[in-house]
Amino acid sequence: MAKKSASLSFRDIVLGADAEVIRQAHEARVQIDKLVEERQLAYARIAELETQVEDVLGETGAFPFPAPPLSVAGFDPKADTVTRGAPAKKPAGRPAASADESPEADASSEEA
Amino acid sequence: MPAESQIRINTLLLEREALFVRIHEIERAASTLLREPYPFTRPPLPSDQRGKRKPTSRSTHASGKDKLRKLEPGETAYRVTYRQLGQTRTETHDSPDALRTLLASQSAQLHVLAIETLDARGEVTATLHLDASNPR
Repeated sequence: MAKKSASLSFRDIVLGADAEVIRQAHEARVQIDKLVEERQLAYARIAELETQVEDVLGETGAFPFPAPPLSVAGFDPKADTVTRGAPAKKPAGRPAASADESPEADASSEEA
Repeated sequence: MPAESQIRINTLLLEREALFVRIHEIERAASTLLREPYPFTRPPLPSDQRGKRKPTSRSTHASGKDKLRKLEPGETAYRVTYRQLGQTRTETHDSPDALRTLLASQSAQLHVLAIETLDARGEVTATLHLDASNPR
């Protein structure tokens, strides 16, 4: 289960976990930050590509963009095309997303 | 749609698909590092937006087929006048198929103004479609 992340102070971290856990968490956090940044850049590029498609078509909002070929957070895994005008899917039981990186559609349920 | 445009769109879609594959891999890697599903949210994309369609385009398409009768004896071609990206263009075709595609492709950027039939001298013999709301 994903806890709602509260900001931890330096004191909380030092006193709240042992050194090994802190080391592992730091390594994971560094790698995750890089992955998150790459993901943001990928989405920015996707937005550019979709805009270019609509420019070629000469019309916005009409092209039936295909759904991602693999499961991705925020897309209906059963849809063939992107559902326009519909909000991103949220899994049942999770709180509503208030900002980027907050709990949202779980595309990783297939994970081991 | 011109072949060049279709090729361009396909190229863009291929790159888009590859990026989604990479995003899938990233999300899985992040969840592996976190040892539980990572709570990603998806940023908004242009494909989330519904565009405004001209309500007349569908009715035009529906009735366009009826209007595109075959050329009768004495008629040699269709002449279509349309407005695209602010410019008015006129084309001559001997097959109604291209005109049906044009009618079906109408949008905010493309609007068919008139379809007429011509005789061998290039004179109009009949008007099959005329958009009175958009003078040529």
